[in-house]
Amino acid sequence: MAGASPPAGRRRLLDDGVRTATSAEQTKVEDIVQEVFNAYKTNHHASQFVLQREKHFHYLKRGLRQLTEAYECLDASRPWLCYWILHSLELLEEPIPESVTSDICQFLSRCQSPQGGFGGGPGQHPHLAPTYAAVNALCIIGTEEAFNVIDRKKLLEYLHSLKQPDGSFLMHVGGEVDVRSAYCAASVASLTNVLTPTLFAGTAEWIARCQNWEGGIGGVPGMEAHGGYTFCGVAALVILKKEHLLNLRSLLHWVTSRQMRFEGGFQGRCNKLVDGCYSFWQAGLLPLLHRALHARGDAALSMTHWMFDQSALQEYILLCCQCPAGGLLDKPGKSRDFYHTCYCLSGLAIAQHFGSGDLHHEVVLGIPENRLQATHPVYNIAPEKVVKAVLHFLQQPVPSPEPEATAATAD
Amino acid sequence: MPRAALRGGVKRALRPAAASVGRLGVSRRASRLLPPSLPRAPPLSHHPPRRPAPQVTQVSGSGAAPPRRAAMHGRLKLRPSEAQAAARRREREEKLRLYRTAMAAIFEKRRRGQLDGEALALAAAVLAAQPDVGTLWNVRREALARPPAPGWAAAELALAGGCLGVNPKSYGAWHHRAWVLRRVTTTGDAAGDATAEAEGALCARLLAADPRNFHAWEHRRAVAGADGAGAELEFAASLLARDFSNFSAWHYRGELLRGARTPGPPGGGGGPGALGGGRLRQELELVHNAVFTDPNDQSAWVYLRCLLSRARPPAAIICLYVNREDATLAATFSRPVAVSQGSPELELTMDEAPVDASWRSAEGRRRPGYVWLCDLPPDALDPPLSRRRFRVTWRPGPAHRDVILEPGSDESWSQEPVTPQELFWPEMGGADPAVMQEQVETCRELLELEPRSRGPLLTLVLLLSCLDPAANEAETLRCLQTLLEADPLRGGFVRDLRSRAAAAAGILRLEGAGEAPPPDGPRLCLAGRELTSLPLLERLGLVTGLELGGNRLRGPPAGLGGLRRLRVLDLSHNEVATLAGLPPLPRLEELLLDGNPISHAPALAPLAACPRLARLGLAGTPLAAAPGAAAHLAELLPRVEVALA
Repeated sequence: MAGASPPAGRRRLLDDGVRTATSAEQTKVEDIVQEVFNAYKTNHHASQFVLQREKHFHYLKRGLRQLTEAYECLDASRPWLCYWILHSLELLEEPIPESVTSDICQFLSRCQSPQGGFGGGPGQHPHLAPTYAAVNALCIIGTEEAFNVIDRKKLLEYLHSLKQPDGSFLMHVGGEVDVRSAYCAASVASLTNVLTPTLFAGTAEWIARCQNWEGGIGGVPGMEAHGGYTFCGVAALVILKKEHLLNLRSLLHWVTSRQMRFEGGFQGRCNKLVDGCYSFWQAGLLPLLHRALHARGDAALSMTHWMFDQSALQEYILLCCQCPAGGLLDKPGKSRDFYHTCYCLSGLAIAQHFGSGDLHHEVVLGIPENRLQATHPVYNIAPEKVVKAVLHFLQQPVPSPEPEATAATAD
Repeated sequence: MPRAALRGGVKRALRPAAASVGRLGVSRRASRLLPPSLPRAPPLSHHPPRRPAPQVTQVSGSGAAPPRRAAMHGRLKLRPSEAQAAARRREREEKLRLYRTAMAAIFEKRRRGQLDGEALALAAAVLAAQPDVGTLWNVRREALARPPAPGWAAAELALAGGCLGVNPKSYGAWHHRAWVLRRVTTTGDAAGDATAEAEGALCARLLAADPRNFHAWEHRRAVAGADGAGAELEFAASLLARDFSNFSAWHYRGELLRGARTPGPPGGGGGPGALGGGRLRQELELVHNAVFTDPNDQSAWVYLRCLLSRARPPAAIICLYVNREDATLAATFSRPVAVSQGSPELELTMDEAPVDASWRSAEGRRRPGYVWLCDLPPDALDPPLSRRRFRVTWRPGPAHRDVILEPGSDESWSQEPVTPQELFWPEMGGADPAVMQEQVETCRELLELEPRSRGPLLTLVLLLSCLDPAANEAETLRCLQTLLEADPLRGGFVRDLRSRAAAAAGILRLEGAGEAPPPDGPRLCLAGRELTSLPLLERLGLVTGLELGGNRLRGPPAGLGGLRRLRVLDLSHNEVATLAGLPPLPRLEELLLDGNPISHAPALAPLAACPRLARLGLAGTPLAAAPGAAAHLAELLPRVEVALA
């Protein structure tokens, strides 16, 4: 262990000389993080934490360029790349040229399936994950052209075709069930105004069954609690206005226990390593919980801070998750990618911005230019983009699904 | 100095460049150049696979010095040579061409309805390199819907197994495996490799590589079924013997034992009932081995709390209060419930005749809440000499509660007595008290060795609270104080726990004094307890006075609206800046806000809706010192005697 002391209050793992595979991995990560902290202290007496905006911007811009070249490349996550890059750019408040947004709209419309929903690429079967990504990307673009891409009637039919009798959703026809699908379905349905009570009958109760004794939510009932699934479950319940079905007290205990006491970032599950992407999946839960508890009239809630250490998280992202060449990453030593860039920046935005509207309080660590655009904790796109999409689609009536659109079976 | 980044980088750099894994003759590296399809790690996320490092040309560091960690990020800067870059580009282009050709051919065959052996072979080839193209798994299942060739199951399992070698977290490959197994069971086709043993072995292999792969754990659980639980417990124990910090293995045990536990109440959610004695002993021994080896490891502590936990009881009506003058009935629940418009969930009868009641939340908002109010019909309580029996039934649960208003009395209530052990943390307590007491001793012993260890501190607090919370109050508060110092990152959580402990102890003191409440009704004093919140108000529905001075409350406690008898509220010397959101309090006469940071009169506006408020203390507030405050307040609260000094 290197000499300098960790930031105030941070505790290193004491493994008592007893090494397990897990504690060895944890110690290794803490060593690296410690070294980053130390290097920062020795090299940056006068300066402050800096978000390398320009570098991240260039990394993202290059991704967008490749995206336009690579239209014909079939693969199953193109809408995700669109969303990750567009959202990162909006957080950095970098405008996207209209020609590019128009190209993206055209590309995404080719991913849209005649059955409704979006596939991972043109010609592929629709799937809820790229459907979520595509709808979010189109809402970020937020133009008439973007909104018009979405076939809402078909989308609603597609969502109905995935609905299971127990309230859950398939990820795709013939595919698996887990709590991601409930979130993707609730997210796209609420943004595009196709959310009907029938579509989500029983869904909230099914999600509540996925909360286990740890307090977090697993992929299906009985599965180990996991940050990503927990975010999906809670965000879906927020959309469905059924958060009270959860045990919020044990959920709060679980998620606050996931912030690493040395690194400052979040782990995804009990006794796993810190990972930059959970800066959003886990920290993003706290605005949702704040809202749920506030709705309950809990006056003990802070009106300036979320219920996690916002500065410690920012420190982790700014010191440990920035790739010097641009882009963000899981932890020191890992490669950058658009996924981590998107979710590290989203987590940074959550940690910087408390509340919204009149009740807004910022905690920006480092130089003022580190400040990002705020993100909507339910949809993870800019709050005004959510408002714009919702207002746009509210003008259009909820389509009535064909009566023969009935539930597909799991097999 | 040997850092993971460095070691990993070198190791990866030394890996043979093109180990062929796909039938397209595609290297594993090339397969990575295609972005993986669906999010891999949940939920929507994927952790893109580690990109193989290009051959190292070190640009940082100077001369023969050991590789220096670049900047502050500890990442080696690696740059491929031109030739290597060109080779990679060619490889990538070739891969793309093959991929596109194969995909186009498959789609074309599907369009023509030719889902034959060739289509299957093409789909297999692409999937072997890129297992996340869900469309292709669907194509395979479509093709297999026709009577498949003998031995199809073994072939499918081999393909899915190979794909899991490429990406052990491929949702598509895991799902396909499960699909094959289900289909074999239903069609009675030759099982081939489709045996529970083979599946178990595959999962064991994958769990040896990544003991936290939850897909593999879940697949094992599904395949083993209820009959295999014994063997699975052993399997989890063998992984714990290797690494007792593996929380997935602990969790797996917990799930396997769920069947051995007494079922929790229906609708409880979140946890089962108690575990039988012998089995519980074995589990506790396993936990003790782990926590005595390393008290700071969180896995075993979380598991211990699971073993001792029980299902949260479903929502129940814990108090009914009826007041003749208000012509209002209040129903208090054990946890927040939602009552929708028209109130189909809550049924009220008076003397066995249904009453068309409209329920509203005591907090004044149609949101889930603890206390729901309904106005009684004007003639219900008239004449005052009539005896009335009210019954409220909560439809989603079987429970109901009655309250009788005797002739001549103004008010009446029926309240469920508090169970002290269930007050603070109702989810704790799934074992008998002797076992819990043993765990208390274990925690105390460990804390003597490691006084600031988080696991035993928190567990001890929860255990003490469900054994004898009143007698253990001092030790509980001591532990929480240590926890606060040892884990400042979660200070807010610990402070809330401390508030909860203080409230629980206060409620028990009140209950203890229940024999002879003071003539003006029960009053609870929690002054100077460093409260950051006041939970458990649903258990205080009948108090007439709350003394909360000298705490750290930022506002009036949530749920005050349910306190229908509250006359005196002392919030002096807290951190209250506004009363915004305060619901109308029908009997509040005196409110003390002295020494709070209240600086403008509109912050007190909700008080105008408290019909009996007569005295308001504002001494030592910025508002009291403001010019014209008295006049302003006289206008806002004309009937209230305001003390500004």
